[in-house]
Amino acid sequence: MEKLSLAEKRPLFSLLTTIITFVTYYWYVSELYAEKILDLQGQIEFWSAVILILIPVFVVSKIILMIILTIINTIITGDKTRFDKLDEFGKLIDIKATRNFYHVFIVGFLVFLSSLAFSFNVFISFNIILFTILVSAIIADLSEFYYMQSGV
Amino acid sequence: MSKNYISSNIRALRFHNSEMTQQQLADAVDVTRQTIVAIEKGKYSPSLELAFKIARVFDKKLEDVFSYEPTEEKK
Repeated sequence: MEKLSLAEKRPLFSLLTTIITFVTYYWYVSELYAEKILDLQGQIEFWSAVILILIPVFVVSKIILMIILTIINTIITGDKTRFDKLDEFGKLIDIKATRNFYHVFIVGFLVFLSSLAFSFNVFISFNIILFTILVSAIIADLSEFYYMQSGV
Repeated sequence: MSKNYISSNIRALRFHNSEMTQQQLADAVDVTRQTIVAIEKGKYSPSLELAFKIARVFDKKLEDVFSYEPTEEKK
């Protein structure tokens, strides 16, 4: 099997970070939710805050990952290329992966709206949107890896 | 996946240019090695700017490095 290049490793590490970050965050939030007894308004506020905080958590975890990977890669190979460096091929792939992210997210968002329209439990509705974010992020990372391998 | 009709002989040119590595070429034109790999395999058609940069590295004309070969015409 051909050795993976730096550009191919990035989406794989990003995928790993996405899953680890989400699982850790969701576990923490679930513990917090179990301790609270909330009315409907309180539940909506709680889950809205959970989703709002998740986005910066994802961004920060990705930035930290890129810094760590660049340092490790520099130590091992002596190559000082930044992990987040994108050339024209990388940018095109990034655009296509982001497009796939939005396609999946739109479907999930419509399911979320439908669940609200059909008066689903608030817990279920907001978990739909939470897991939509996770699945969309996974699809984006997998798309990036796929396009790196197969070309665009 | 869209079909790329741009083919190149970068691999041969690298070989005849002191067996230049993909990484060396990538550094010379400021892209990642993955981009050079994709161009060599015909999986990515480079921008005009990058194509000119690559041709300049080998001191060749653009058409000496890249060629356009449509395998099937749309009717």
